[in-house]
Parts: sequence; structure tokens; C-alpha cells
Amino acid sequence: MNAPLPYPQLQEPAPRDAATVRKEAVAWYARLCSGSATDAECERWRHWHDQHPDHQQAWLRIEALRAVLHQVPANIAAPTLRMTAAARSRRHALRGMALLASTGTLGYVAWRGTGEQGFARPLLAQYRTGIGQQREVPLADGSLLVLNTGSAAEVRFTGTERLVRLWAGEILIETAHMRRPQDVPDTADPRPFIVQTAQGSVTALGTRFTVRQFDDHTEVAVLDHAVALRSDGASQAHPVLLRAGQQARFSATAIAPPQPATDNAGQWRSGSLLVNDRSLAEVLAELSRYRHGRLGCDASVARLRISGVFPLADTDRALALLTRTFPLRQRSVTRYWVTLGAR
Amino acid sequence: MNENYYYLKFTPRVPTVPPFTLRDDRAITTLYSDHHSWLHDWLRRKMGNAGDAADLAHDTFVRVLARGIPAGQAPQPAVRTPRAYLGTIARGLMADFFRRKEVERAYLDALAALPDVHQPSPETRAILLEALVAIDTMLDGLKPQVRQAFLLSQLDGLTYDQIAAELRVTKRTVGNYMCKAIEHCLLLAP
Repeated sequence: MNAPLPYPQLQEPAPRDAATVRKEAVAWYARLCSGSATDAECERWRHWHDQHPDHQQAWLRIEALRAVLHQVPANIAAPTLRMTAAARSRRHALRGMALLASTGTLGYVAWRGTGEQGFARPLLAQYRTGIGQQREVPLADGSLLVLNTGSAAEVRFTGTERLVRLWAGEILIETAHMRRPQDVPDTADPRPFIVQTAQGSVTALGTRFTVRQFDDHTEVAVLDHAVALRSDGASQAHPVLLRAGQQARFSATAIAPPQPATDNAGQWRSGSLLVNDRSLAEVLAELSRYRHGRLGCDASVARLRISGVFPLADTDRALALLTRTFPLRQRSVTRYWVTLGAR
Repeated sequence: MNENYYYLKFTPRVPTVPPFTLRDDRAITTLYSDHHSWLHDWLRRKMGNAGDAADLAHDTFVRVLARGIPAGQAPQPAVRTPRAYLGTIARGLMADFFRRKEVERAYLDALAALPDVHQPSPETRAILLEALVAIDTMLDGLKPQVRQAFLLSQLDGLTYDQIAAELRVTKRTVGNYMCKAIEHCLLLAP
């Protein structure tokens, strides 16, 4: 106990009950992971942590657990561990079926019950990615759907349309028309290709484009050819046409006029964040989409102008690049709580 | 499940044989010659694959060697009911074997869905698989909803509000799930 304590301790404190301390550590960790922990709570946690050597011991176990979980990149661990769970619950269901044969009607009712209420209920959107993950989904018509970090989407192809519902995050679409090699004759799918968001829809016109769902609006950037935008509540009879190199946002009631697309549009697909003269605050906001926990900076450096290319698959490296190339210093409480300040 | 059990569980497949007193040698030799072919047959019937069964029968005896039969003591359960003893060890190994297969299959599927820039290098692939088997074992025994909440929080980085919406439960329930899962993991972490 050489570290300075927040208040003087004249003697070794009496050891505390291990199970009680473990429960406290668990409760603190659960609280800090909630996504709604306040600075004051973080401060209280730190106080708890420094209060007693047993607390520090217990917290080391929490850190060790985190280390075990983070041995594997989340974009590999999450789908793998979900698939093993799904395989097991399928086996459970089969076992239930076998039991069914011997228990008659009552067994059937019980089995149906678990099927609808229990684990078999569709918990997740069809395709999703966690923080820092990206995923490519080839679609039945030859188009490609790419999900960026923290995204969820559903694909529904019917006889009359090809619909992608974007629930959260950001996607890139390359329609089959774009992906076809030059020498293959164009037998275009007659069904329109539509991305539906909370505020409206984007109809692809043989194209490559990105759609991002914000809380109250949708942002679309076109990389090739064109798309047509429709806002759900807008009165305009004609959709707005957006061409390659343009971007626009729309709310549930209006579509903003098209702007030139930023250099960064669609760059995430290649795993990098391209920054051209943006403020540090903006850059960190973008990076934090790819990273667990809180990432912030002191007000004194928030307006620092940043240019560069930063890796998205490894935000630790991106932060190291930032602190090396710009007069910045990194302070972290845990890996989940990082603040950049002036060097 | 004691510490020792996990230690054994996470050692590589062909462990070095730890020292054991030579006086036990005969007991183990007898155990091997009397029951090896029975064990091999039993495993082959259970697993439907002669090669895997031979490996696991071998591993079972390595495991027995690692535990040893304490010298100069009254006959152990192992000696009194050898087949039950071997069967128990083999069943544990078989569960580990199938878990590993299952994790590996899921892992390869997950890799196939990743864009090239996110692919791990060939040399890290094997390490990642080992780590995934360990994590999967650690999560074993959690209820599906609890496991799901834990994964959504720790791997996908969702907030409790988002998880609550996803699982259609209250935020408070998510908090309870998380406490349950974290404590379970703390107790079982390798």
C-alpha cells in the first residue's frame, strides 16, 4: 500500500468478507457498464476502489475477466459465442421434441410455451454488428450489404421489391448492377432496391451509397450513380435525386438540399477514418463509434484542427497516432474512460 | 467445480505426464490393460468415430496418470469401480471435445463473414480459438437471456437501455442479468 490514499490510514484495515466485497465489485462494474453512469458515480467508484485493499483485489479480478473477454476481437467473439449458444438451444429444442413424443398433449403445450416466450423468440435484428465491428452480407440478388460499427438491418426481398430496413447505425449498399463484371450482359432485376429508415426511404438507381441512421434524421452519401430520396412525411410529390459525390440528410418532414459529399464518405469500408481539417472533438466523436466506453477531450483542445488517416479496427492505435502527431496527452481511468488533454 | 478441474480443463491436449510415485505404476498398468479396450469401444459407440475415440481413450488414461492413485492408501473408488471412474473422466473429456468442435465451427463461420481488413493473421487464429473455447466454457451454465445480455454489453458495447429494448425486458432486469453474469464469470474465470 504505497499509493497515496484519499485519507490517512494509520493501520491495515480489517479484512472484509470476500463474498460481500465480490458482490460490491460486481455491482460497481455492472453500474459502470450501463452506459448511463455519471461522472459523480465514477468518482464514487474510485473512492470505493481506494478505500480498502480488498476492494482493489476484487477489482483486479474484474480487470482479469475483462482481459479474458478482450483476448479475442469483439467482431469475432460476438458472432462465435452467439452461434454456439444458438446451436445449443437448437439441441435443447430437439431434446424437447423427443420428450414430446412420450409426454403427449401436455408436453406439447409446454414446448410451445418455451418456443414463444423463451430463448427461441427472435431476439435480434437479422444482421447486426457491435461496436468496432463490420460485416459484409451478400444478398440473394447479387447485391452487397456492408454494416458498419454498431448497426442493425433487416433484409426482405419480395416479388415486387428488394427492401433493406436500417434499424440503427450505418450501411453501405452496392447493388447487383454495380457489382456485375463489364462483360456480363445486364439483366437488371426489375424489382426496385429500397433502403427504409425511420424517416423515409432511399431508392437505388444502379449504385453504391451509404445510409446512416441518426436519432432524428437520416444521412445519405452517394459514391456512384444516383439514388432517389423520399421523406415519409414530406409533402413534395417528387423524390429528390442525389448524384455521385453528393450527400444529403432528411428528417421525417423535410429533405435538406444536397451538399458535396465529404472525403470520408464510405471510407470506413476500407477500415480507415480519413480526416481533413476537422476539430478534435469531431474526430473523437467519430472514433468513439468504433470503441467501447467514453472517449472525450478537455475543452482547451476540443477545437484543435486535425488531419490524417486513422485505423478504425484498432482505436488504441488511432489514439496513439493522435497523441504522437499532435500536442496531446492521453489520460485513462480504465480502458473505458479515456480523455485527451494538452501535452 | 474446484480450481483443479479448470486447471486440467485448460491444459493442452497432450499434457506432460506429471511425476507420480512408481508404486502406483502397477495399479495403473492393471487399469489400462483391463479396461482400455472396453473404454475405446464405449467411446466409439458414443462418438461414432474410431479415431476420435482412440484419442479420447488415450487422454482419459493420461488424465488418470495426472491424478495418480495415492500410494499406500486404501483402494480408491477408481480401483473399486474402475469403469465408472474411467467413464466419468471420459464423459468430461468428450464434453470438452464437442464444445471445442462447436466453437471451432462457429469461429470459422464468423471469420468467413468478416471483411478482409478485419481478418486475423494465420498465426493468431489458433490462439484466438483457444481463448474462445475458454470464454465459451466460462459462460456455460448462464441462462440464454442472461448470456445474451452479457454479450450485448461486453462485446457489442450496447447500453442497458439498448439491451432492454433488444430483449424486451426492463432496464432493471438487464442490470440484474449483468450482475448475475459478471459474478458467474468471476467465479469461473480461468
